[in-house]
Amino acid sequence: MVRLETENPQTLHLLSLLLRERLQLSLSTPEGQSRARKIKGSAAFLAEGMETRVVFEGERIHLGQSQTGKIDVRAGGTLAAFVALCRGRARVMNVVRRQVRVRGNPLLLMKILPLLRAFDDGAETT
Amino acid sequence: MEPKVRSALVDLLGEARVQPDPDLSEVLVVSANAVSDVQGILSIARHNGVPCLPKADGLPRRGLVAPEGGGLRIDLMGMNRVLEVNHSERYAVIEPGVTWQHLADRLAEDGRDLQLPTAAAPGHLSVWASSLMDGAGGLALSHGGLGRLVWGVEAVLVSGEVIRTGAGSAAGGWWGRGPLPDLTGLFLGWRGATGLVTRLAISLRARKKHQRRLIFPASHRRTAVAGAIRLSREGLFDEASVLPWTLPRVLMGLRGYFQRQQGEPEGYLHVDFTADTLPELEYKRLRLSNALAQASRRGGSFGHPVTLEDLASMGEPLEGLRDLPLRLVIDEGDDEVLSGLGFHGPTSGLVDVAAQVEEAFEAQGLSAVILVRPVHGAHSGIVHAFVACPWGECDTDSPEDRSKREQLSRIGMAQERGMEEALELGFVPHRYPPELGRLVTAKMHPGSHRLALRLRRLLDAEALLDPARWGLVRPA
Repeated sequence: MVRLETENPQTLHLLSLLLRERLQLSLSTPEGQSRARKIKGSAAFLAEGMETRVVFEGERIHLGQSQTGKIDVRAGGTLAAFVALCRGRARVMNVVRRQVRVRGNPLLLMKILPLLRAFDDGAETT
Repeated sequence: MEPKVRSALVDLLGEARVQPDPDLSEVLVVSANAVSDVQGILSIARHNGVPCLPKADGLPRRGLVAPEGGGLRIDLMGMNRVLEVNHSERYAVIEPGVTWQHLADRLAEDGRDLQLPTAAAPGHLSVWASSLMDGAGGLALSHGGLGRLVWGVEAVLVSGEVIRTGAGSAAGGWWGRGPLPDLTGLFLGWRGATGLVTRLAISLRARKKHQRRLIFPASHRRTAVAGAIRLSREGLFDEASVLPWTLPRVLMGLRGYFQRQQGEPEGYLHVDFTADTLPELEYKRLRLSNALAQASRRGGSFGHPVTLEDLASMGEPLEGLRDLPLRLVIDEGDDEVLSGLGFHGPTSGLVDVAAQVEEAFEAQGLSAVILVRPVHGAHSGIVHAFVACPWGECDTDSPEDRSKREQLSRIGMAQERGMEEALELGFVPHRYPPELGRLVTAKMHPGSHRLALRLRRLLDAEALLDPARWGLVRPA
């Protein structure tokens, strides 16, 4: 069972809260559990001055805002682009149009993004 | 309360509609389903000297809906008919129990050519409560508080006499306040102290074909407020309000003391605009970009907008953002209520008052949700501060009750200091705990206060209706 651990929730800003919500939704499904278990690595998401780090360690996912530690992939952009990514809208186009800038290991990001779609919300996948 | 009072009420309404208040001792909740019920209840109250307060869904439980020291809470939720929707003059006549959601549903059934004057009232709140307390709605940006959209009322005076105000008092319709002495004001902002409003005419707006609802992250609250004021002056937008950084946390169910994180936006500017054509929509979008660019020239910045619909799709706690009327989903649990302070004042002081009120709460280790919005073409603005507050009896020595009492005490101190600061900065409260009414009356011009007392005595010599409000104490 993959667990999501967060820092003190009262310190979480909007970006972290949105990520937490999406990950929790995904982890409540068998498909999300299965996908999350296979991911290893750390990602930083940045939007409108907010930064959230998510570390995938197999059976445990840690979500926090501490800006220390190694990061495998960093995805930055506007809050709107981040929301679009989570909704599964035009993922590739967002990157091509540079509304989302990716540095590091894009393959890791491509593994994480489906988890943010939360599977059961009927989002587009193009 | 004397048994004969209860007995008379049971004779009038039946046992099921006369119940002890579950939370407050010495208070009976009596349910009125018709004007004749209200007249009967007031007659019994008058003959027995029992204080009364009206109640309709949506008012906070604490303080506002029960007479101090015991009495009757007159529950008007049973009077919940939409009596008329007038499509040509665009108004609705409603009873007190009609909620924003109820009215929105009725307008949708009626063909979708009209829409509510509000974009920001929780769906479960009664239109009656929002309007009589002069709350803020979507049209507030151009028209002012919801009280300005009330075109007339029917009210039952404490004597039992039924009166009408506005055009509806002299004409066949309620199409405006009419070229008559504006008696509607005798019932707006008095919180039931002059009579019980049993019918209310509220103006509606024509529905536009296209709508955009956007949230702009803003680096500073000052920048967001400057943007909202510019948009208000443009006169092209339906809503421009500043939501605080604390709101996402509260919407997501968090409580307690929050600290803003490095780089986190201090505010979120919420903008709604509508249009009948796409070129009109595009024009407004350009004006919006222009206004925000100008607002950020004095420092600060806006991020890219995200639509409310998209944000609402990010998780269940945010889903209410999608709907009109907007459900501002700060759920009150069984053991908590939202306690609020609200002030009207000059736009030049909005940022300072918001900061002072925030500081007052922070000094007590509390994080409040502070909403700021210009109204009436930015002639003035409104600051609202909400905080989750424990609810229920807490009179034992258990650690839980002690903690509740301590939290209530801190909230009380924060609200008092917040009120003092806002009054000092020239703001006028419209929503506050009853015990702080003394601060308002102390600030009022003595002549105005005396006039209010005289009017009040004229309409309710025994001071049975809301005796504590505005310092309008009962005669000895």
